[in-house]
Parts: sequence; structure tokens; C-alpha cells
Amino acid sequence: MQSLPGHPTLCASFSRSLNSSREHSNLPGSIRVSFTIFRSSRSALVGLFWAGLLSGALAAPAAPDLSCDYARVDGRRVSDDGTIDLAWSLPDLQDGVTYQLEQSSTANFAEIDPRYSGPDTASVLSGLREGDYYFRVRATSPAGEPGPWSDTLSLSVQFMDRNTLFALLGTGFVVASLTMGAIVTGFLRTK
Amino acid sequence: MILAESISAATGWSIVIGLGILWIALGIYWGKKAKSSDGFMLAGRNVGLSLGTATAMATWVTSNTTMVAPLLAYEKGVWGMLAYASASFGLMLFAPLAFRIRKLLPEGVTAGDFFRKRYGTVGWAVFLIITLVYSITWLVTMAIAGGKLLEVLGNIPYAQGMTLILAVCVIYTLFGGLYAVIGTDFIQSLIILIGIVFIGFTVVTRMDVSAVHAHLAEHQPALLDIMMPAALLAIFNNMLFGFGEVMHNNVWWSRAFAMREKIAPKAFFLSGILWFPIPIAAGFVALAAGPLGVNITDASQVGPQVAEHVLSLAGMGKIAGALILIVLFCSMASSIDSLLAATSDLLVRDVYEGVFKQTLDPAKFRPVAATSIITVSLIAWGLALSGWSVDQVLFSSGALVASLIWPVIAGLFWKGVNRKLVIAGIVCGCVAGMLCYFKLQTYTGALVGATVSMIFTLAARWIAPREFDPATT
Repeated sequence: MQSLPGHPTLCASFSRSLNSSREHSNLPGSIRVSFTIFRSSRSALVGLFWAGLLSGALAAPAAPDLSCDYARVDGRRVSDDGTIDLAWSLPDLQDGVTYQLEQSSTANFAEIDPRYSGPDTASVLSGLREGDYYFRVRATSPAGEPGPWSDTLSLSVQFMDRNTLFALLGTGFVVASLTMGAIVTGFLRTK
Repeated sequence: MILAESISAATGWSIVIGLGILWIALGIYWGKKAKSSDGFMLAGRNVGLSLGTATAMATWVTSNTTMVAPLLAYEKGVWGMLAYASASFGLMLFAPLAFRIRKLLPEGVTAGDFFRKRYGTVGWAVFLIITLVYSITWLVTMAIAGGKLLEVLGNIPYAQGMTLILAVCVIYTLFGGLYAVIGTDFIQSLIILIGIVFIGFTVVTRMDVSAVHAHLAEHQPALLDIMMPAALLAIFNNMLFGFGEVMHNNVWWSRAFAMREKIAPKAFFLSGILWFPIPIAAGFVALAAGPLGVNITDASQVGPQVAEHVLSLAGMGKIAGALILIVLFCSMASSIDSLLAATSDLLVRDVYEGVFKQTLDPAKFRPVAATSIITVSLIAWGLALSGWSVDQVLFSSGALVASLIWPVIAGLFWKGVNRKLVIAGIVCGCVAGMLCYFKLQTYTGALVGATVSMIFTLAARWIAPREFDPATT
């Protein structure tokens, strides 16, 4: 399908070529016949052109391609901080299309959390707790006709294991405290 | 998200060029005072409390504060917001260090002078490599943030916007040196403070806090978790990153040398206190993204996106975009100019004079300083063309700067250390921190780097220590 902003340009050039044929009415008969045939088919061509565009606008868009760029652990995409960058696209660029992004904690989307609805083709979701998450997106044509859902994208949020976390936090606390202590005592001693 | 109320490219160009002309004019005016190398590099060593506080605060309010603080809040919640604010402790802790620096090095010019005296040529070389890599990295992150900001808010193509911001800062730093930097910082800090207070106030008055809490609890529950691992790690990591950045970088040392002796500690402490609420205000704006229905397509743009949305709701229309652009442009310029000046000082003093053993007479000083400023900016410009992720570039260098915290403390306050052990600690800290950054978790680089270096430095106090030069202890 052509993008909608292209219509005026395409139509204008098409009309210009048709109008230019009228300027040749003094041409020999066989050529005039061919122009007559061309003129009679003009309305059909224009009709076909607009019908194609209209049906494209009314027709349901294809399923978007939903993706995110995360490392896989045991075959599953894993986010270690509860943030997910999602992006989606349609096979063909379409203006006026809107998208619906849904999230669920089950693969069959028994419970749905609608996360976004609008024209954007990406969304950064943050603040997810540990667990498995499933996402899908679909496009809706400018006429309101929804397309099929994309393939489901699954992702696990898996934070750092608690032992490592507490070891690092304890280390951080000790280092920060010693640093502040060393500066304050050093300052007082050398003041 | 495409910002519906974004300003036109013409308005974006006008704002940046208008502000650029103002900074350049002021730079030329203030630059007339810089008649000697001390004047150009250290503003005559006579900066007072108000200018000193303003320049420290404005330099610390970088594009990273206004862009990465909201990103941390959006991704790590309340802890993320506080984690970024913890960088203010670095400024406050630099107050006692500034006092000691002025005492030990009354005629000092750069941080390199200190490292050369304390840790010899090898230690000085390690410091130079780390600080030049970090300073360029910092400069690159700000150029990238500037280019992206102008692209989002001003509809100016990335490469053009990034080039424009860098060029403006280069020109006025070339003319005025540290005089121009500190003078413009004062005006920029006022604009930043007024702008952020205004935007923060507008957001608070437009938001129902209980609705924000309810939305976060339902859709982004981990942002309210007390035990969110990445956020908790970010607190210590950012704090140590801030310590390392302030304690080693010539941006701060040159200010300590430039301020009057008794002023420097007060100015740094005060600037830390003034800076503390800024990332919290900027971060709070980001937490409102979900409740306000703002879809975030690029987390690094969450601050400007939400701020513009809220100001538009307040009926400010396209003025909102212009206001945000002015505030953020000031925050970038105030840091880019400082970095350009401080890094070029290092190149002149430590590389040109120190490494290449050149004598710098007054007639040759300006051309050499100008060449170094242009060289630094060209390197940063070339790297910034890539448009890398700002936060990833920034945090990847955390291990480098955090590894220098304890060597600075030891050099300033202790009587002697085992130099080789300290230098080995810096190198091991950098390597271990970088490994953890890439292999373990993003917010572990500075933490691990500081820890390893601290252990080596503490050991160096007891294992075969050698006294520092008695003239500087």
C-alpha cells in the first residue's frame, strides 16, 4: 500500500499526463482513437487507483513484527533490571495506523494489562518485578479495522541473586564509609 | 514518542545560536582579563564565594544530570532518583580536600602536578591516561546528549545540533579561558536553577501524587520496591563514581586552585548542597511518565518528554519546548566549557610541558592552549558522531575514576605509601571494575574499582611505605 502523503503527488502527475493528451486533438485518426481509448480508460484507472488506496486504508493491517534486544539465558530473553525496550514494525510503512501493546503474565493472555495504544512503534516498560512476561502488539488501520496480533514475545525478569547482591551492597557500604571516614579524619588531623 | 508540541527547527536554531552569541560575547569580554597563563587557566586565582559556588554547581549539573537522572528514576524508581543525587556527596567531600590541596600545592595548576609529586612519573602517566580517557568520555556523552536533545526538541538533525553545541562552547572557551567559563557558569547556573524549579513546580501542581503512586503500584511495582537490586547497587556505585570523578578530575582541581584559599572549601560544600535536589526534581518528573500517559520510546529522553508534556498541559504550548531547550542547553554548555578548559590545561601543562619537555613562554601560551582545546573538541566530536547510548558510555568509565579515590586521599593526608603498590591497585581496580561492568552488572564498575584500589592502597600504607617529599607533607 502507498503511504497516504503520497496521494496528492501521484494524482497530480497522473492528471498532468492525462491533460496533456487533450492538447493533441489535431493528430491523425489512428492516434486519436488510441487517445479516446486512453481517455475512456482514464476514469477506470483513477477509480482503481483510489479503490486500491481506500481498500488499503480500510483493510486490516498485517501482524507487526515485535522485537526486543536482550541476551538469552537458557533460550529465554532475560532482563536483569525490570526494564524492557520493545519495538515493533509493519512489513509496509503505513500512515495513520495505531498500535495496541498488551502485556500478560501468562502465555495465553488470560489476564491482560494494556500497556500502550497509539501511533508509536516502540515502548520502554520499566518497574517490572521478577517473573515471566508475555507481550503482543497489533495494528489498527486508520478506518479502525484491527489486524492480527503479532507473535508473542516472552521475556523473564531475573534480578541478581540475593547472595551476590548483599555481598556487593555490604562492600559498597564499607568502602563508602571508609572513604568518608578517611577524608574527615585526614582533614581533622592535618587542619 | 513524537513530541506534538516540539518547536520548529528555525526556533531551535535561533535559541541555540542566540544563546551561543551571548556566551561568546561574554567570553570575549571576560577573556580580556586573561593576560597571563595563570589568568587564562586559573582566572587569576581570585574567584570568590558566589562565583565559585555557582561554577561548581553549574559544572556538576551536566546533561547527564538532566537526562540520566530522569532515566535512572524511570528505570530504577525512587532509589534510582536518590542514587543519582548521591553524587552530590562527592562535591561536599571535596571541600576538605580543596582545603588540603591549597595547602600542599599553593602554586599548583593541575591535578597532574599532585600525581607527579606523589606517585612519580609512572603514577603520573597512569593518572594522565585515565583522566584523559574519562574526560573525553564525559565530553562525548554531553555532546551526544546535546545532539539528541536538539533533534527531539528542536527538530535539528543530530550531527548538526551536536556540532553546533560543541562549536559554541569551543569558541567562547578559546577567547576567555577559565574567566569565561566561570562567568558564563554563573549565568547558566541561575537559568538552570530557575528553569528546573519552575518545571518541577509545574509538574507537582499538575500531578495527583496518590494517583502516581497507584499507577506505579499497578504497572511499575518494582519502582517502589525497597529491595530492587539494580537500584540499590546504583546508590553505592553512583556515589563512588561521583567521589572518583570529583576527586581526580582537573575540572575540580582547577577550580580549587582558582578560588581564594579560604573560599574553596565553602564553595564546594555549598554547591553540593545546592546540587542535591536537582536530580531528585528531574527524576520525579520521569516517575510521572506512566500516570500521565506519556509513552517512552527512548529512556534517555524521558525527562524532556515528560517535562514538555506537562508544560503543554499547563497551556504553555510551544514555549514549553523552548524553555526546556534553554535550560538543558545551559546545563550542557556549563559542563562542556569546563571540561574543554580543564582538559586543555592538562594537555598544555602535563603533556606539552611535562611529557614533551617544552618551555611555555607567554607568547606561545595562547596558540598552544587554543590548539589543545580544538584538539580535544575534535576528538570528542568524532566520537560523538556515533550517537552511542549516553548512560552506557558514562557508566562504563566509572571503574577508571573510582580507582583513583584512595590514591588521592592517601596522597593528600598520609605521610607516605608504597607507590608501586598504589599504582598496581589503580590498574587492578580499573581492570576488575571494567570486567564487572561488562560481565556482572552495569552498576558494579565503580564499586568494584574503588574496592580493589582501596585494598591495595591500605596495604601500601603498611607494606614497605616510603615517605612523601617532606616539602609537601
